[in-house]
Amino acid sequence: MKLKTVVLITTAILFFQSNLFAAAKMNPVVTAYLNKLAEKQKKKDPSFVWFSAEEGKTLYFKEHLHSKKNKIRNCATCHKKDPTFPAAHADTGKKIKPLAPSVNSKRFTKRKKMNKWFRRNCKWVLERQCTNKEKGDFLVWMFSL
Amino acid sequence: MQRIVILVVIGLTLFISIPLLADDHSTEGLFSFLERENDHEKEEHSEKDGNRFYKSQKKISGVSNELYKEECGSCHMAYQPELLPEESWVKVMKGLSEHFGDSAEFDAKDAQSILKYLKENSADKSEAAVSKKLLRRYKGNAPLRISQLPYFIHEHDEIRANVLKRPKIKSWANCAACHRMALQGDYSERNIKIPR
Repeated sequence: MKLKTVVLITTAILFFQSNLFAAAKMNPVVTAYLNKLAEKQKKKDPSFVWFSAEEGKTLYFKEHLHSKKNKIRNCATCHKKDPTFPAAHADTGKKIKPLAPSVNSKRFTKRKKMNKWFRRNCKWVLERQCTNKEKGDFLVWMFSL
Repeated sequence: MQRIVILVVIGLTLFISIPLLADDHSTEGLFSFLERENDHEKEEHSEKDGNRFYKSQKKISGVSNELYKEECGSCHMAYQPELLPEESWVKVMKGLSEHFGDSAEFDAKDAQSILKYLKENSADKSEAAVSKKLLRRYKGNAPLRISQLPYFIHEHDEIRANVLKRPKIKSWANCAACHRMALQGDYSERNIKIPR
C-alpha cells in the first residue's frame, strides 16, 4: 500500500514537472516562420545549418547604447532577465506578460504580430532591423526556455 | 448604565447615517462623502479661475476598439480617445515612426482604421465631462501628450517629481498606476491610490 502511494506521487510529480519545466513545443506558425527564415539564411550563407539558441540568448542580453536616448538598452530592459516572468515597460511602466512560450502559449502564434514586434523592438534596442539569423536564433532560444 | 446604552445607540446611528445622508452611493466607504465635498470645491475653484462651468455628467468608458487596444495598448495604456483633441490624434498618428523617440509603426491599413476611430471619438466630439474639462484653456498648437493639456497639468500640480519617479508609477503615461479604474474610464478622485 505504502509503496503504491510513493509510486503514484512520484509519477504525479514527474508528470507535472514534464509539463511545467520542459521547453515549449513549437506551434505550426512559428515552425513555418523559422523554416522561411532558414531558407533565406541558406541562400545568404550556404554553410548555414540551423539557428542557435545560445546565440539567441547572447542577442537577448546584448547591450546597445541608444544614440538618441543616450540609454543602454537590451531586450531585458523591458522583458527582464528571465523571460518566463511577467515584466514591465521600462519607460511607461505598462505591464508585460511573460515572453517565454512555455509559460505564455499565446506568444509567437501570429506571423503578423511577430513581424511587427521584431520591427519595433529591434529598432527600440538596436536602432536597426534584426537580421533573419538573429530572428531565428531568438525564437529558437525562446522555445528552449 | 442606561445612559451609556442610549449614548452608544445615538453615536452608532449618527456614524452610520451621516455618510448615507451625504452620499447616495454609499458603497464607496464611510468617508467617500468627504471626497465628494472635495470634488465640489474643485469645481467651484475652477469656476473662479474664469472657466466655463460644465454641467455635463456624461462619463467615458473603457476602450472598446480591439484593434486600437492591440496596436496602441501594448507599450502604454490605450488612452480613451476622448482624452485628446482630434488635431492631437492626427499628429500622433502621423509620427508613429518616431513616437516619442521610438518606433511604433504598424500596418498602414490598421493605422488608417485606428485614426478614424480616434477622430470620431476625440475630445472635441465627446459630450463627456472629462473631455470638456480637458479642452479648457487649451489654445493654439495641439499637444502630442494628454499630460500637456492645461487641465491635466492643473489637476496633477500637487504630484512632485520624486513621486512620479517611483518604480510603480514611472511616467504620466501610466494612468492606471494611481487611477485604479483608468482602464474603465474612471479618473475620479475617489478611485485614486498613489503607490508607495
